[in-house]
Amino acid sequence: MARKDRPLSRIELLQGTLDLIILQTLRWGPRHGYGITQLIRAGSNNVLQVDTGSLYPALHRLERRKLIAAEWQISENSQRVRVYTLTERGRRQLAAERSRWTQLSAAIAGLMKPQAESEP
Amino acid sequence: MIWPWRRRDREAALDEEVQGHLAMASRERLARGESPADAAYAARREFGNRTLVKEVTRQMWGGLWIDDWRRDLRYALRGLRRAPGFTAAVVLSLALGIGANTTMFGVLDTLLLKPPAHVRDPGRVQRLYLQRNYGPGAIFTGIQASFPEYERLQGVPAFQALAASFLAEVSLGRGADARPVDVSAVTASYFPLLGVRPVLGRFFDAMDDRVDGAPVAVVSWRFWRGQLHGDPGVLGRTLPIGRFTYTIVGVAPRDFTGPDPTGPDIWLPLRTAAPDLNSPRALTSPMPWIEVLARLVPGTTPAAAAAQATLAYRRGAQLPYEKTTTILLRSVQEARGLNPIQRGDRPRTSTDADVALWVGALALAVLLVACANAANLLLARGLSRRRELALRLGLGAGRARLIRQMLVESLVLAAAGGGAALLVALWGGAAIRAFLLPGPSSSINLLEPRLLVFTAAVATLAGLLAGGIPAWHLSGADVAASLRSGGRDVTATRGRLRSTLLAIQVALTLTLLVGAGLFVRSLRNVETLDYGLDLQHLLIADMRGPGMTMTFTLGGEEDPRSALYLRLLRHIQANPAVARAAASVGTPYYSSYSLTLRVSGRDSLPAVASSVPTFNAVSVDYFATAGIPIVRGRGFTDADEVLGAPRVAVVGQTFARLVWPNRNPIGQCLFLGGADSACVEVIGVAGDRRPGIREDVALAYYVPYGQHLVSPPIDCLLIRTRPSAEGALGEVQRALQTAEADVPYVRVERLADRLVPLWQSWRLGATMFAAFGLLALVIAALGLYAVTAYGVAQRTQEIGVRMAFGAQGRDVVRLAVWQALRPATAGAGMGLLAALVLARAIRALLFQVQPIDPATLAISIGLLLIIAMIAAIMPARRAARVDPMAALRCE
Repeated sequence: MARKDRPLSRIELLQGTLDLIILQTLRWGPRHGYGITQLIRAGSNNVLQVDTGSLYPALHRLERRKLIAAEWQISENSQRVRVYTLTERGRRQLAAERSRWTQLSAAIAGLMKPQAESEP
Repeated sequence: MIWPWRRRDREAALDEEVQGHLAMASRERLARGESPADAAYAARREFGNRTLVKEVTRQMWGGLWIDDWRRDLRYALRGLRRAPGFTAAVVLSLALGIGANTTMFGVLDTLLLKPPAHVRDPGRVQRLYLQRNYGPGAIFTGIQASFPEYERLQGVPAFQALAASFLAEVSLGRGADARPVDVSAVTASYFPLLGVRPVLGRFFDAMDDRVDGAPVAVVSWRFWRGQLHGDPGVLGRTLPIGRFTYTIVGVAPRDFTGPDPTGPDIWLPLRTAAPDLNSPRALTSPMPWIEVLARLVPGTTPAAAAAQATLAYRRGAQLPYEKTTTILLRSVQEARGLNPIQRGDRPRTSTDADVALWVGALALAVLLVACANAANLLLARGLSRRRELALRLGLGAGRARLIRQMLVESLVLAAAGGGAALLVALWGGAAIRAFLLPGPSSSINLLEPRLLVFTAAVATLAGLLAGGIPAWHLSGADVAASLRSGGRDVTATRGRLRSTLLAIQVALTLTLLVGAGLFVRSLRNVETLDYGLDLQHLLIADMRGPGMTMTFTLGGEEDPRSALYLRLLRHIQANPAVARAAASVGTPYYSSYSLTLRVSGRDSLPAVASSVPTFNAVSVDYFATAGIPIVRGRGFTDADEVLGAPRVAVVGQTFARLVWPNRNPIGQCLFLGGADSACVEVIGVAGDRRPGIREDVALAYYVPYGQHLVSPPIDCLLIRTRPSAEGALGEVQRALQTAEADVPYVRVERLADRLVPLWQSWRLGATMFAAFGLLALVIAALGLYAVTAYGVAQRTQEIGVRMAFGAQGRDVVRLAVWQALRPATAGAGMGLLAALVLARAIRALLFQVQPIDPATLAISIGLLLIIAMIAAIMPARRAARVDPMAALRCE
């Protein structure tokens, strides 16, 4: 069923940005895959909708790089779910990535402003 | 990374994770009030393509290449099972090529490469060479030193330890029980220097290694297991060797052979055994007889140590020429490939090592031929699968993917070839090893890790080489053209590649055949050399080692050793199988003696490039027994063999010609041993005896033994058996061995067999070149046959069309044969050039054969082209029987 609250325009995430977002999301505690999509959507006011075809490969990639760890837990409705936790290494990676991201977004914002003003 | 065996669990987990995601999504929708069917549908929709999601997720796991390889492996195995003929041809040719290399590696490893077993830090163990300068043009470098020389080198600071050894074949036991064993007399420092420990008992200490020490012995593992039945109570058992009865005090570890690839059965203390093994004066005489090893102090260079040793040696020099003697050091490892003694100022690579290295290179050439052949077969097979390959390329398979798959196939073939190669090395290589490594070490241990690693490496290399060339070519296939043409070979480049591979095989094969021809001719020349004596029915009998000590006597007193020989001589002369027999002081091809000599009518002797005058003291019947003709004057008679008879001598032809040119040698005088000696009158001239193979001129003279004009004792008996006597050799051995109760082991051999070791390098070269040349020829013929057969099969339709238009079978055969012979001819041309280069390189190894030998070249090329022709005609004739209509209907 079509939803009215679909994002207006689909934003293509930059390479590596999804990884950063996942790590950031897991900072607040362990989450399963579905929970992560919900949190990202809510956290971005429904602008960012993560495709499962990107999410699961990203999760498994991060797991392989040992930035996050996975374990099976029983959910509140007694279902086995795979829950991801940020590792110590992932925490360090997140800190580094976040400062880079801040620099990058500041730089992009700086680039965008004068251009926007010069537009007729 | 996910290993294959964990993959199944992981798949299940991924399924569950995805299912969980969908369940949660639909439950949330249910909670929002959607109908169960709608909720489940929407969740699935939102999720997207599950299979695809799982697929891309799986790719994150890593380790996928293992799956791919497994798939390729299964595919390759299936394909090869379907083509047993092709598989057998490739595996066989690779097995022969790799097997040749495994065999040669085994030999070279034992001979030259493998560090000596049980020797600690072998790099610091050095062999001493003494470079002795006897005058202009007479510099010799060798490993033998006298005992005083060895003692003089004690205390060189750069030497942590110094040891001497002396290897000899001796008789264990006496009379009928006597048998030969190899013993090594070693100083007490020998085993500690090498760093080896006994497996049983102890080695020698200073109390053992002294003059008149208690006779003790250490036996080798092999001797202990083989001759003493591995008796754990072996310590204390005794070995009768020479004058002494040695008590066994230790057993050396398994495979310990000292610094050399082969070792003795028994070790004895040198100072105790020397008087018996060598001579009573062995420890004081200036005669060189022992070999010296040194272990360097850590951090010392061999050059520095050699300089120190030279200094210490010269400081104690006693004889005039010793003041110019130089000590050289070579690591024991390097020394394995060097001559023990030679003319010249430094040790040189021995002919055996040279030849072994050459044979190793030959094996490599055979491998190349095998690889080219395998590549060609793989290419032909690949071409017949062009359509499939083109289709897969067209459907988007990557080129790398196809190359990998073809490489897997060739590696599978190479692995099978490598496995079979071990069997080739085990069975086919036995003869080669027996040739190159005489003695018990010629058996091969297939489980030796070095050998397995080498074989695996060569097999991998061969697989990549044989598979890489066709894989690269085929994966570049022009998809559209190939699909359009129905999979037939349309491009000329691939035909060219096949021809090139064929030409390479033919070229290498020709090179090997030419090498074989040159060596075979050298060997024939060596074997048919005129050695100056009549080798037919001529036996030599000698006794060496303990009890047969060198007792030099002057002035008529008979030493016990010569007396024994003379008694044996009389005994054997009475034997009905023996026509004649004589005793001699020098052993042909083994030992000779020289003395200071002056002659009448000349102030000095003429210099002959490679020779000083050597003498022999012989019993009366010597010339007739040996088959040396008396060309002038007379030989010795019984009257000459009496002490105090008029002093007489016989000289060799070359001696006579060079010393008294244009004069009558009969009646001239020889003055033996110096100016004040009396005249020995020349009474005859004998034919020249060739002293060796490379040495052709000898200045020889003979005196009657019975006059005791010279001091050396009798060394051997020469025995001419009656041509009619069957099994004369065994009979002579038995008769001599049992003539008296305590005769040491008597070695009786055909004198001709004593020459065989001298022929070794040529025999080896001829055998190896011929064996590998024929091997390459077989492989190349196989390749030619297969490629022609393939070419004909590919062109069945074309041939059908031609025949439908009236071409004769003859024309078709001519066409197909020409196709195969063109690359063969080109290859023969290339091979000819390569052979000329090779021939120049092996010139030094040849004997009386010019490196560019027209007959050898012509025969090799002829043989090669005839074989090529036969290999091509067989499939071509089949092509000529093609039924035109059947061929055309095929499409």
